[in-house]
Amino acid sequence: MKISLEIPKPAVIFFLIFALLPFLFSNPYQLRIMTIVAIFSSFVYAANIIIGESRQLFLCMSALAGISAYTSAILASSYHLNPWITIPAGVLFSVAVGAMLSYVSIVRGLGEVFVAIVTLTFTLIFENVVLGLRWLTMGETGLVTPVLWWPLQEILGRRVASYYTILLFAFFVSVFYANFIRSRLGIALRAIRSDRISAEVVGIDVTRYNVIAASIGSAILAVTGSFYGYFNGMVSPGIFSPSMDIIIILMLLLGGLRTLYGPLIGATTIVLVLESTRGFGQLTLTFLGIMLVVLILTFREGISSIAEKAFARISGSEREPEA
Amino acid sequence: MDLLKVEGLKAGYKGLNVLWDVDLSVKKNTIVSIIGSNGSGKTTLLNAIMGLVEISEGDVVFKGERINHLRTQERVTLGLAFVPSERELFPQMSVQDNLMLGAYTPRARRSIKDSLRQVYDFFPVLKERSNQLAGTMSGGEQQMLAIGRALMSLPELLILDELSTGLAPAVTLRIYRKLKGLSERMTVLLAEQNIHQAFMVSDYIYVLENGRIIASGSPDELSESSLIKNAYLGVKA
Amino acid sequence: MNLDLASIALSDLIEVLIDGILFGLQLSLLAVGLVLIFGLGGILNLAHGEFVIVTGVISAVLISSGWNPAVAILAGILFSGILALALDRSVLRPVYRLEGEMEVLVGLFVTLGLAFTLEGITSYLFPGLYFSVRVPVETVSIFGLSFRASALVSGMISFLSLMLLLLFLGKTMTGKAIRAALQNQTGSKVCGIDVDRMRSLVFFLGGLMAGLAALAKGIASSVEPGSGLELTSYALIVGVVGGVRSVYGAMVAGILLGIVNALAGYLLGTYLTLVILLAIVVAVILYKPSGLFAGGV
Ligand SMILES: Nc1ncnc2c1ncn2[C@@H]1O[C@H](COP(=O)(O)OP(=O)(O)OP(=O)(O)O)[C@@H](O)[C@H]1O
Ligand SMILES: [Mg+2]
Repeated sequence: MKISLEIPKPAVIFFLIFALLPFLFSNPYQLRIMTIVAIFSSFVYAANIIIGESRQLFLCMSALAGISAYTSAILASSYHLNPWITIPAGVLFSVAVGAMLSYVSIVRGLGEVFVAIVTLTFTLIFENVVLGLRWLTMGETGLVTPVLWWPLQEILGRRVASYYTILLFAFFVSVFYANFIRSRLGIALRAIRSDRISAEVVGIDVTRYNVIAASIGSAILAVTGSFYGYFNGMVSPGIFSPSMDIIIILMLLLGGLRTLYGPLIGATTIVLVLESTRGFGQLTLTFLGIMLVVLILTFREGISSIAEKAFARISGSEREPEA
Repeated sequence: MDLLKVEGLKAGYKGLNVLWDVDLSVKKNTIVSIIGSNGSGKTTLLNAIMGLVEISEGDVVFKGERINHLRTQERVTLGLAFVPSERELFPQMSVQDNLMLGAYTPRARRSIKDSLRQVYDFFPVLKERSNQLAGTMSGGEQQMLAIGRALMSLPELLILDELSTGLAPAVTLRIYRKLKGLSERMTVLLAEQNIHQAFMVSDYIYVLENGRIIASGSPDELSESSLIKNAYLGVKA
Repeated sequence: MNLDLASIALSDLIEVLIDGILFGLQLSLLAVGLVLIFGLGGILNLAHGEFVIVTGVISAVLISSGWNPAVAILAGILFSGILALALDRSVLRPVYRLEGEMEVLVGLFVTLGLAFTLEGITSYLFPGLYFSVRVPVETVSIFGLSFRASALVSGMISFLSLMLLLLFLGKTMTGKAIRAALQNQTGSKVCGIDVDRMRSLVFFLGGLMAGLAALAKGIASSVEPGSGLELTSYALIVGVVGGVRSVYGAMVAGILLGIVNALAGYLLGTYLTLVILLAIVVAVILYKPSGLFAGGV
């Protein structure tokens, strides 16, 4: 078996541009927005793997990210540990939960809709447990996270350093996704999508591949979620709330399901829209809602299926379109 | 006068055409049968007449009016009634409610009591079981219920897909006799597997093969035809 | 949280039980609309809770601008019905053209989008507004047991609304036609029933039921913008436990969960209660996805 790592050029260009941005926009507010774009693009790649590639409608992405963020923060502060040690523990916990949710829904033969309901219910349970375990999580107010050391923070300053760490991770995730869809696993998932029964007949272990996909997605969500918490300085139910799932799905749909650049485009666009409508208070929800309705009714392809074709022509790397 | 006329009909399912250039007409107060082997397109033809399958070419004309564009329920209001081969009952409702819903159109609703009595007279089983859930009835009972429900709408044209499925031969026979008796008031179009019965009750027969009408005529005419003799009536005829 | 079972008086338990049933009736009322719409529309209407909010908001605004409260509330309920009908006739049209799982999925996201839209509008336009109806008497005591009068009235309104709905569905020709359409669409068409019309009617009814739920909730506690998704999740919980297509199931499940809610709240405290309810949902989906009381419309 030949192992070849593909590093898609447009992704490199995209991330190079993002890496140069701090030289242009360096005030804390701008840096914050850029960091959030990077965080959410990782989230959306995870969603692209779980919802897009393996077609498991997980409405618990916020909870999976939150579990890891809370676990890591609580462990680090209660036992005075270095957060870099507790992050893996949080990730492990989230992956276990994500894998279990996936395994149980497949074994019980739940359709996509029931998977959505079960995972949404799980999100609500997570929210209520966090609210209820006040002594551990500080309930609604949220928990102040210990300070995480970001690489190079002594040189760049904490803000820029955290931005680069998170951006680098997002870049890693996008490269991972590009290779994932060409891997044995990605191809098996594609076969399962197009015809589950035949896939089973030719010996593809549907359960195993779906659980693996859910675990990988959960891991990405978990790492990103922990970074989000430490970057934010605080974890609270308000951050990892069900509306985060909606935002991620919006980004995924806007960018385009199962596309390589959709997550980047979707995350950037929606974060900018959300920021520019901040002044409208609660009406932001309305904008999100209307966008969701319009997107799902008219534009299920997503922006990047158009953009991707253009990119593909430039870079010569092509991906078969899918029905 | 032609109560129903089908002209140059082409119809089928997504990406698969089943019926080709089908012409057919049903005169008032007659019983007309469509016969043909499995998969020849009988059900598709009846469904197309009822508006349950989309027509790609041709016309369906009922009482002189072109009804291609009408939805199924509008066709029913005009006086068509249909007993689908799958029966399509309301499994979690009582026998009586199923029958009442057969008389949903305003015209039928006016004489709902009379119709109900007649259907009960015709199928006493249904009366005995009037409170039983339709889904728990036996196959044959369900078929009677489906026919009863169609009769409740006081149709001008009764369309039956596979009347005999699930029914004891004696019951089928009785229904056919009754239909013949009814034919002063009602016109009937049947799709039938059972060739002998079709020959017995029909005034006119169409033979459908691979989605095309390959022969038609009165039972007498057809039983003369060597083609039909060999293909359908078997050695016996 | 001190669990000393011996010290729980029987009369307390009965009060809790009845409280639970009263609250359960509210839950049932909240869920029947959702279940009706899912049964016929094939749409798991995540905007259902917003219909409740809309009734509350409209009623509160009308009352504060001097309308007779009864008329205002009636107008509010009617408005929710019409809103539901309008959604069915407009944005949901394209959804019905899809098939099977795809229809359900797209419907899920469209109604979620609608929920956000309505939640944003109502909380933006009417921040701090709340709808609540005061009952003149504080407590009622029956056989030495005392109950909050508001809970009793609210429970009674829920019960009456549910009975009216059952009568309509069970006894009238139109109601039967709706049930017929729920059970078999081809069969309905063949009987001359216009399934699209029935679906619109079901949306209207679902909206009305949500409006009545707003009244019941406004009497027992209050309705305020921003809590629509929470109400939807309660309706979903009840719907899933009862069997998402079964009206009877929703009624029974609502009452049952109301009792569980009251007992758990009494014994364990409020926050664990919701977790328990949610855990019941997960358990039901995993062990009997069709719902505990499925069957029968
Ligand atoms: N829903 C459908 N989608 C695609 N093809 C269909 C569908 N229903 C029927 N067909 C095809 O159309 C053809 C005609 O079927 P139809 O049911 O009309 O036959 P039939 O004459 O009624 O047969 P039978 O005597 O077995 O009832 C068959 O080849 C069948 O496979
Ligand atoms: Mg057939």
